[in-house]
Formats: sequence, C-alpha cells, structure tokens
Amino acid sequence: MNLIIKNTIIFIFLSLTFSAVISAQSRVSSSVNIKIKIVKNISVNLQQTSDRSSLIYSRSNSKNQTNLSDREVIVFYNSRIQNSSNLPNTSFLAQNNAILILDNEIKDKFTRVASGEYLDIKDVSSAQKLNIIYENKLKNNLYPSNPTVTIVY
Amino acid sequence: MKLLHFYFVAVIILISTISYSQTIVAYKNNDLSFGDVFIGYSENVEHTDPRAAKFNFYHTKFFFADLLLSFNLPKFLTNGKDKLPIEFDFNHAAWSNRDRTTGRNTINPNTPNELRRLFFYLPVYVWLGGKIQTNSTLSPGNYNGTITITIEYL
Repeated sequence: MNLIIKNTIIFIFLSLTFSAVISAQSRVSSSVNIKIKIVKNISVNLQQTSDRSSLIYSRSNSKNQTNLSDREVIVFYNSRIQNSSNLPNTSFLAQNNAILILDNEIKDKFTRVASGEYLDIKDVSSAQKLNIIYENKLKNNLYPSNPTVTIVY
Repeated sequence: MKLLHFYFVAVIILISTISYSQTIVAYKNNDLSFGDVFIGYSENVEHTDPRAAKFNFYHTKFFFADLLLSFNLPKFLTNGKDKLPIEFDFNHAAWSNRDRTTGRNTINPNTPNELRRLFFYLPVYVWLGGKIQTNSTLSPGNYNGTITITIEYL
C-alpha cells in the first residue's frame, strides 16, 4: 500500500514537472527574410521562355511574324514585354551581332536598332505591348546561341 | 521489491513523458527571394515557386494534435529609405505533409489557420510566396523584410 501511495506521489510530481516544462515549448516561432533587389538595368536571355525577371513570357518562330515574312532575314526569337501598369521609360541595347526590332503590334510599324545601339522607349502606356524581335543577319543559321537584350531604365 | 519499484517508476516516467510531451519543433528552410526586379515591374512568387519561403515543423504530442498556424506579415519592404508594398493572398501560402508541389493545401496567410489531426513527429511543410509592385519613384537597391511564422497547440 505504501508503494502505491509513494508512486502515486511520484506520478503526480513528474506529471506536473513535465507539464510545466513542456508547456513552455508548446508554442514556437520561426522567421525568414524577404529579399528583393530593384535594378535599373537587366539582361534578359531571349532563349528562355520564362525569365525570372518576368519581362519575357513568350517566344515564337519568325515564320509566325507575318509582318516580317517577306524579309530576307532570319528572325528567331520573339519576346514580349509584359503588360505593365507602370512601364517606365526604357532603353533597349541590341547585342550579339543582331538587330533588335521593337514592334508595338501595329503591322509595318517597328523600329530597328543596330547591334550595340540603344533605342529609347518613352511614354509607353499600360495598354501597349511591345514585341522584342531578334533578327539575325548571318546566313546558314549561324545565329548566336545565347542572345540577350539589355533593358536599361 | 526494489526491482519492482524501479520498473514502476520507469513506467510512470514513460507514461508521463508520452502524456505531457507537447513540444513543437520548427525549422526554416528557405527565405522568400524575389531576386532582381526591373524597376517599374511587378513580381509574383506563388507558393509552388522555388523562391518561396519554406518552413517545416512537427509536434510531439501523443498521436494527433490540432495546431494553429499564423503568420506575422510585413506590409512593406524597405531599404531604409523607401517603402515597397508587399501583398499575400491564397495563391501564396500552402501546407502539406509531403515536400512536393502537388497536393498542397492552400491557406490564407492573413488569418490564423487551424491544422487538424496532425500526426506526431510527421513533418508539416509550409510555403509562402508574395507579390510586389515596384514603381519608378523607388530608389534601386536591396529591400528587405521579415516574415514570422507561429505554431501553437489549439
């Protein structure tokens, strides 16, 4: 009988002890950081169908570009700037020995930018969508394997 | 008699441990990283995006437990000078017992969420993305904020 009483006391003591100690750990918090870098210029690889910058969301073959179909050029990447409610004034730098064409979706109205040159884009409204089309003058499909365009605020 | 006493105490300790062990253990796996965002553009990171924040936790209460999961979310990210608004909604938070992109349970990170009948020691994964919209008045550079997740027994 003494043993039962003694162990009952031990049970109650241990229970209270565990309860007190462990209840302090029954709520836990953990933190993570949020990181973002806002940049004024960015290089976008036109081969990527979905760039992390979200600037590019599509590409297509030049054969689908009816406004350029009669030209003796190889157009192999077409990317579109996402519609933005606040598209800033930007410049586009053509690179990789190619020509950059910006087309605001109005047929036969586009602007050419020679390799290494900038084109300033100003006052683009939220409704406008710009196509970036990379046009290669090289024959035999010797196009750059990794074409990029730099977009500068 | 002493041996019997020893066993009795051992059993009591075991039962007490199982009955009252209510620890919750949480780990941080990933920060929420938007990466480089061109000024003037928005960026959306959904919970399935590898850039989303990721936690995992488990509880030790015997068999099943109901837990309350809540987030302390910032309204702005800051570089010390400018403020960049950040938003969170249903597309941005989810939990699952499996560490994979399919079969997740979406949750609203703006309110506390009750997670029912979670098995003990079974990890629960939590993912959280977000959405930001930059504008041309912001100065370029790094912006930061902190998300705190709290898990407690119901």
